[in-house]
Amino acid sequence: MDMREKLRLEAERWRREVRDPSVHEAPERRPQFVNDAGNTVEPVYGPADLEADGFDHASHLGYPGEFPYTRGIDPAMYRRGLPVVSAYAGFGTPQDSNRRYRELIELGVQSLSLALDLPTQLGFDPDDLMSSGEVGRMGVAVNTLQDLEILFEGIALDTLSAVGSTANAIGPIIMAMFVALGEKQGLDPSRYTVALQNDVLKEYVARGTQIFPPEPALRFSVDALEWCVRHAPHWIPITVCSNHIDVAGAGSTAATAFTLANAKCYLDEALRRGLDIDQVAPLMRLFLNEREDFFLAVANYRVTRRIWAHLLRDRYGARDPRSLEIRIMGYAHGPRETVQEPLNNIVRITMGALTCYFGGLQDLRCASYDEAVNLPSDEAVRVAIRTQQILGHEFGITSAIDPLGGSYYVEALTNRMEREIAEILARVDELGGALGAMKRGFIQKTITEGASRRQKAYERKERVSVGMNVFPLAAETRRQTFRIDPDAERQQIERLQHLKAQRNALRVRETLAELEVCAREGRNVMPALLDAVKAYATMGEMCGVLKSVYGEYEPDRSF
Amino acid sequence: MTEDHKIRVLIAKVGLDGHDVGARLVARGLLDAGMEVIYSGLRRTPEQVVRAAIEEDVDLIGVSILSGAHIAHLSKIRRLLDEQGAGDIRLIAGGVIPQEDIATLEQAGVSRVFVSGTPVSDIADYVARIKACV
Amino acid sequence: MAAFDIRRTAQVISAIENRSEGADAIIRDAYRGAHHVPVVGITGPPGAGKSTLIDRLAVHWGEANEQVAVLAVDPSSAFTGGALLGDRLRMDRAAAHPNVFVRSFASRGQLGGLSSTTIDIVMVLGSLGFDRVLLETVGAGQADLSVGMAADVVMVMAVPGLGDRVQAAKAGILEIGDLYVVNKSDLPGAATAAGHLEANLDLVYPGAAGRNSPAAAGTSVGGNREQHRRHGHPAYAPGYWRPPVLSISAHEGSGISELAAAADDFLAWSRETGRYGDRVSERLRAQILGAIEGRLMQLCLAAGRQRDLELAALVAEVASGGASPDEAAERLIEQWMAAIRGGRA
Repeated sequence: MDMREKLRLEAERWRREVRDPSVHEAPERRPQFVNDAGNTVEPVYGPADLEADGFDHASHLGYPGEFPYTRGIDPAMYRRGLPVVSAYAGFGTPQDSNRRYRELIELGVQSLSLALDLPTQLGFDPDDLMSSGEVGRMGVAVNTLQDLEILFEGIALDTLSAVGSTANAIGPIIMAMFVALGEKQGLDPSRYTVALQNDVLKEYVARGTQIFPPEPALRFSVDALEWCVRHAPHWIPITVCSNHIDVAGAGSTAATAFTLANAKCYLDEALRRGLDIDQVAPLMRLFLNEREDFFLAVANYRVTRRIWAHLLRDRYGARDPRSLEIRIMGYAHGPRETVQEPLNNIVRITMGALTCYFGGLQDLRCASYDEAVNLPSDEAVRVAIRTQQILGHEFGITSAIDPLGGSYYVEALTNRMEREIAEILARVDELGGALGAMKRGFIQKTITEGASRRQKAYERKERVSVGMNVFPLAAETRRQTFRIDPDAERQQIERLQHLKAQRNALRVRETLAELEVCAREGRNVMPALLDAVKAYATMGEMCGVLKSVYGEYEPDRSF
Repeated sequence: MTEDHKIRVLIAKVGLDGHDVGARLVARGLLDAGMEVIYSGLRRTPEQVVRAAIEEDVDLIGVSILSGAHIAHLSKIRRLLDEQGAGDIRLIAGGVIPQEDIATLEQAGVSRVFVSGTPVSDIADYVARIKACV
Repeated sequence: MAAFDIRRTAQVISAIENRSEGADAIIRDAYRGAHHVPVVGITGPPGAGKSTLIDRLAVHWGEANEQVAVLAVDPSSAFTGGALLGDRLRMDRAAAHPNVFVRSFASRGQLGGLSSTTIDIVMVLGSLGFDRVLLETVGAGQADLSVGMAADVVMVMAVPGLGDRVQAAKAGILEIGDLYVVNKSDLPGAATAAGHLEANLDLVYPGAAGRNSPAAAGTSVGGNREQHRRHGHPAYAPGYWRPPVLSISAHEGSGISELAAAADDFLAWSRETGRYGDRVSERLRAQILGAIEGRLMQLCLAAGRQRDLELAALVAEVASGGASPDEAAERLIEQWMAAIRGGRA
């Protein structure tokens, strides 16, 4: 009898002789335990499960810093350095946010990601009719280089591990602003790091701040990537995100597959421009997080590194190890945060952060416990940073690398996810890649169906949220939510108008004209953007020019 | 002729946020409850919402908003409806709305605010019930 | 502010759609006015860009100071009776225009979405002062034939790449189109799609696009009776209409005024040759027959209180080989008629 058969029989014996009679006598809490991926969770995992997958230590795991990087991309991991403490912040006017940034740095934040308000993300100036009521609300308004200068008053870019933003449709414009700000601070791009989201493809299916049609938007995003290859090869011009796709409803398995499909679009576009895979791939980063199941989350991070390494080596022929080692950032939320009893979210966020440590992430930010309701209050932001510090330094969590590696359960999940992601990726390829799959509504359909499934599971209480669908509080004590200065919109408009009156209008016109020519001729627009930004052209003006060339995205009707 | 009255609902996204999964789930739920649902698409202004509601002669508008600009937008929608002789069209809201804003919204003429996490079937029941009362 | 009373227009339409009290009188009055406004039907496969095109056309005619009503029809769910109506989403410009009224409809069980109610609503819109109605219907296939009945000029949309040959060769669409529209003229393949359509039209209609004098004797003429009925027989006076194929980009708005002019030219030709009146008559005939059918059905159903039981018994009989469905129907109708005659109704 071979080893595999022996293990299987042993597992069956336990089930038959010990577990089943016991459960027959006193049943389990639920008839079935199902995870967010829709898979049944077995009562216990053992060596038989690994054997069934043909588990092989060398090819599935290896050691940290070695192909296929399942256990981490760094041989020393957190023993050398903890994940970068990042914060995602911004609200009101640039002055308001500058104050918040200084406090964050004081608390130990090493990397800042600018939360931009929706008008900025969509390329509207604050005096645009569409911006009414939205200026400074979901983030800070960055309408011109002047706003960025105010945001970083007293903060030198080279004192931070990285600066960045969730800019997507406008990604290259924000990058140009950072380059110009660096120049003003007397810093060469080699002295600091810009890390952008600039992942425009997921906007069309999950996040919703697209401006241009997908094809020109994709090329625009890659303009920033190409510029970095030539001028700032240590920057992160694109962070491809699964987070929004997962949360919108796809589930982490499908979300990771779609994310990899999007990443392939960016890489392919860069290769089309004659860049080498080993010039481009090391600049990429992924943003993953799983908010429905602790162990799926850990498996997701581990398996994504493995898939990436294979994809880059086998499909793209990358040879530089830096191309194969994908950096991952996470934004810890934990399970669905609740509006009710917001302090409970601290526990949820802590669990979310723990998955990031167990999953070997490079860059981590913790959500604030009141984020489900409003922009984070000062106290909530502090607790978030402390959460990350406590997990990093206390309780021995970060001493050994990949501490869940070899867990029967986690390895079984990891292998299963690998198979399922490969299946979905193949389906997306059949549909013509991410763009084709999006045009045919496949991605949207997956998301909508998943969201509906989650909602139903929640309504049937198969998925539980404490304080919401079980153990709800009869009366809620009201908490003061953080409010933005209602006058921020007016102040921002006033300052913009003042700036417009002062700047060299001729220079603005010239640089915008040059931007239009560049865009029309299909050249990389980064140099033209840089000139326009330095002339204090506004976000609305630059996007207006680009819209006239690229067109505007018109929504599809897909339910 | 036999009466064939279907409940008509406009599901509208106002504000600049692009998160429409919730709105689409609610739209689906109302469809499953046998209603005719007009979906507005993203980023409608209060003026557009009101014109659509009146042209489509809906019984109720459900506004989904996550951008934080809910008080300004919802108050304006209610005011425009009333001004244009459509005071009978009900207005409900959902999305990210802090607890303490609910009273303000109700005073501004929003019939009901559904906080996130409300079962879609509860919303469908509510809509069916208020229509039955008209 | 709109040029018409939006609220009232909307409520009148609801009343007719819901068959509410008072709707009968409104419809009666509308037909008494005998104001038959031109109906422009737009059909084509999903994804062809119908809504975007209608958005452009409605604004075009609205700008020419016409009062335009857009009726966009989507299917109802067969299971729940509900419907998701999302065409409006792509009609931003029209929905904001003071001369345009946009209304979404659920098909409520009608194949292709069009029903006698649609035609009643068009009549009522005419009586309310609208100058033109644009009618959007779903999908391709046989249900589309009803748009040929409901509209005075039918535009059939094709999209490059969506199975050009199949689209063009499909018998149904080459019979109902008075104009063919190839959308997204900037896409590669637009020229090919237009070429396929022209090639297919060549088989039926000799000559150039639009108005033609009778072809010279001896010219070979194809086509079927339906095509000749709609567009004239190429061999006889007063001539015939060859459906033009127009390339547009609904997205960018190019080619719209040419398309609108071609539609108006067809309507003019149709009036001059008497075909416009024929279509109206055809439509009214269908309305009358529909009304008869409805009333008879009502009469029968009212007479047969036991109809479910009777029907169930007959189903069992047919199942066991006791009768054919046709015999069963005959027997049922006889019972009902007897009941009506006996005054038990």
